[in-house]
Amino acid sequence: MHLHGQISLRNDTILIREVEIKGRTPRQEYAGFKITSLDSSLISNYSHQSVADLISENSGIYIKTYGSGGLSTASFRGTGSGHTQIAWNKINLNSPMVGQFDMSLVPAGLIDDINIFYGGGSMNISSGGFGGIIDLETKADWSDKNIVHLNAGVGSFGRYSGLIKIKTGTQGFQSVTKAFIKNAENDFRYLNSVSGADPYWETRENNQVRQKGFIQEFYLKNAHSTYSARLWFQKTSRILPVPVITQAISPPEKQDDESFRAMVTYESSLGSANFNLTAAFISDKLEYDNEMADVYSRNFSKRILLRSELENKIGEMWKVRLAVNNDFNTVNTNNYEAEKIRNVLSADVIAQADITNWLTTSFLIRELLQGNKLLPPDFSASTEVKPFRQKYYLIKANYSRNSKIPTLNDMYWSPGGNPELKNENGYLSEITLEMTNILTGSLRIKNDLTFFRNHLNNMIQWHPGEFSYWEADNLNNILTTGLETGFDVSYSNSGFILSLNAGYTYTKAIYSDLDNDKASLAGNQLIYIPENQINTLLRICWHHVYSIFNTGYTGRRFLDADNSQYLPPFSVSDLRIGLKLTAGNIYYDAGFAIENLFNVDYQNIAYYPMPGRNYLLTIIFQLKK
Amino acid sequence: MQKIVLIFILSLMVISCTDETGPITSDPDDNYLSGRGVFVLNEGNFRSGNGSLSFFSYDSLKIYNNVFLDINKRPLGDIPYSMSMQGGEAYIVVNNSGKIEVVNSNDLKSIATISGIVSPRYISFINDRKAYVTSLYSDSVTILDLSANSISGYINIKRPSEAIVNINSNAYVAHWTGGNKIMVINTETNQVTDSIEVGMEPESMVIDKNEILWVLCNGGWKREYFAELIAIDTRTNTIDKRFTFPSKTDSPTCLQIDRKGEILYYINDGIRRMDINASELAPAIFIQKLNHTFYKMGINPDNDEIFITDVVDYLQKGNLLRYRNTGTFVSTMQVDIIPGGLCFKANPDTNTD
Repeated sequence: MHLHGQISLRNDTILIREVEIKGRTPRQEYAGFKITSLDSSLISNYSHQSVADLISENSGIYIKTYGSGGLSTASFRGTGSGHTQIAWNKINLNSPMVGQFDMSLVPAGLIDDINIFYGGGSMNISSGGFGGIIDLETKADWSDKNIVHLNAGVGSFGRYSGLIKIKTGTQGFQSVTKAFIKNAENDFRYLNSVSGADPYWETRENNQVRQKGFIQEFYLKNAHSTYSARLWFQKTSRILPVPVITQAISPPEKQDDESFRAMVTYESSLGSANFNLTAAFISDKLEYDNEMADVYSRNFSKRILLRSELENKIGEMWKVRLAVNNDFNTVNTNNYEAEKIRNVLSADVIAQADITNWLTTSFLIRELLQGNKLLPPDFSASTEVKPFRQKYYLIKANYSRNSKIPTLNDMYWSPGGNPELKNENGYLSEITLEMTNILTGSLRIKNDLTFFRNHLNNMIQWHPGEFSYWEADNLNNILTTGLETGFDVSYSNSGFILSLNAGYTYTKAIYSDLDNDKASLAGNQLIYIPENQINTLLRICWHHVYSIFNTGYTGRRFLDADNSQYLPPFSVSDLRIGLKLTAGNIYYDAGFAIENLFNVDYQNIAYYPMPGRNYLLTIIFQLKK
Repeated sequence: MQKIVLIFILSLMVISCTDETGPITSDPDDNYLSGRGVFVLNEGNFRSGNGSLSFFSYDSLKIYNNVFLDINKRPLGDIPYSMSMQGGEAYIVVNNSGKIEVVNSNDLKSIATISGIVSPRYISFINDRKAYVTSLYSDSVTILDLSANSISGYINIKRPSEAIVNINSNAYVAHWTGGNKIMVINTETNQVTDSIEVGMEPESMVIDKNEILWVLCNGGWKREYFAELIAIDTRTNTIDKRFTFPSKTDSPTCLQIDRKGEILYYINDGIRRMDINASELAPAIFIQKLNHTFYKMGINPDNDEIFITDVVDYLQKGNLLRYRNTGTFVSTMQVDIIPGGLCFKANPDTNTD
């Protein structure tokens, strides 16, 4: 399920009115790469859930989650969570300490659009995303008037949430304010079949989440330029549950996350030239307490990021883009022996040629400067072919070399961090076929099929050292191969809209180039990478009534390198129904969702039970003037 | 088109039908053979709940994996750490599950689960009715009532505890993580009566034929102190001998003793052994580690055979290595992830950690 954004139910963020097929011509800026989008109409259905829930149910990306509100990280194409980059308007959000991003911390309702750059396509944004990059967009909407949007939800297991959006301004100035609060007890019942001789029902404890935050954005534009300033603050407090097979900890583990992000952007277009400059400041605080184990972890990171792009057309055929990124990090933590500072500068040259009206190629070369050390250059090459003039068929192919700098924890964690670590690098290739058929004016079908192959080298792994603690080293090479296929149908007629988005992903992720002492692992699937995943989303709208049914299948996930233990497959379905009414300037939407409709008992991570059937009631009130 | 949609969704539902929820072992071993042998506690990965129990049978000379799961149809727990036998019952201490599984030592069928113990590490049987359990995080030693298989009390020793041995009317409890003391508990009164200062982080202990308590202190993980092997006279609770390892990088572990109580064994860059009357630490390696990663060791009280666990890379399945008491290699057997503690099923009343 990869194409929601391209079959879009366009509306004023909320209303579902008509079906639009967005452009099918090659995306000029990223020709030859697989890039999909989840647009605002889809995202609005997940206002009270996290981006992790949204991605999990609407893409082939595997989200490894510890449960509702628990740590949730994304895994693309058999790579690890550290190889998935999360960006906010193309500014990387991954922690410089752990190299990953907890997607459960971002309420989907704050985000306007989500663009997913697969594999080598991620290099158009930044380095290190072997699997890909998920770019969370917040943006101005110049077409609308002043809007006040209130969105409240109440659900099972002590869950309530609220989201408010206020948009105001003129043709040349926009202010957007978004604020949210979300609390959940997550005290669901589950069947414990591992702690005693006989299974018994018990209530999940120590699973509370408290979350709040806001985004404030200002946009100013004139004929050739746009200025924007964005602030994003949020705070999350969580009690961390333990796996049911382990002993409950008293007092329980606690984790507090606090982030402050600020971004200013200047964009200018003059003739055939475009210029973009972004400066961002990101401050992350993570505090973890485990009183029983006497662990009090205090982690503060500050980042200053600069990103600039200059793009210009040269003649009719060529387009050249120059990009410079600088990422300056400082980390203070009681887990390192001293404060650590790191600066990474990268410079890209991207050349794209529209050779004919059916053939486009592009080439990117990137040089990275880590501190004073110049790293081997990365590159990507892609091509995009439109074989039939009258049909929306595309063939895309690309090959890339990407590299990832070790996280600061890998290098400096005390004990065991290894400052001598080499960068991980990967050779990524993929080929995609996209076909869109318009059978009648109101019935459209789109299919896509992608094959990918990634060879990743010098993967960093923590292993036991000689002195009773674990150490980081470049140990393994990994090979991931697979296919992704999507099937989308949309139909509209006289107030009736139907769309079905379905996708299947097959992923084989194995160790490669094994030493003799690991030869027995040859061919074994890496842990927590499902070979098979299926997602479907069916949306039906008939005048004022709408219904959304989604179901996802996740195949078995092995739990050990020997592949002797695994979590069984599961399929979870959700059903949402709602009624929307408009009276003058006021819009109402009342929705009711049944999550885990068939009350499936399943685990995403071993011994972390997931909630059974549960309910969510949402009310939306929107005033537009 | 609606039919296509319906068929697709229905097919998904059919595909996904399963009664399975939790982790499944894909290739469980159906057989469990009784008789003499060695139990291997495979710790599994922390918080992964993939700890298991293996058994090497002297009768068939085969290894049987996942025996607890096979017989009791439920996983053993998170970090099974040690196991001891008393009469016809075996007590499996499952550290991160905070419990002790009590099973019949001849068929491994569950008898009871004693839960609610804070991070238990080792069990020591005081008599037929009473046992002590040490704790990695609690400041107390837990007292078990073996007739009811329940917790009957606590002894506050004001520090966490690891290894435990008892002799005559005293139990000796080591304060391992960050500690340097052996606490002495009167087993009749359940009171702390003495403490003995030793080296940094006393990790393992044995008692020799002369009632001397040998304490192996590994020097602490930060390598700020030298490791030491200390002999304590249990009649006076005073230090009799003190051997200091030559380098701070020495990190000896897993002190064991042979069946006669005369020869000490420990892991330090291979297996070392020394006579209890030796005047210096074992200078030579008795068994080379070669390409193995030695983790725990045990000496069979029946025949002095040496069993060593090899954790490989802590991620894939480990091995159980068997050697004659001469140091001659006999065989290697694949067990499960992070094989650790060993428990010998020797004569009916034999009890070892």
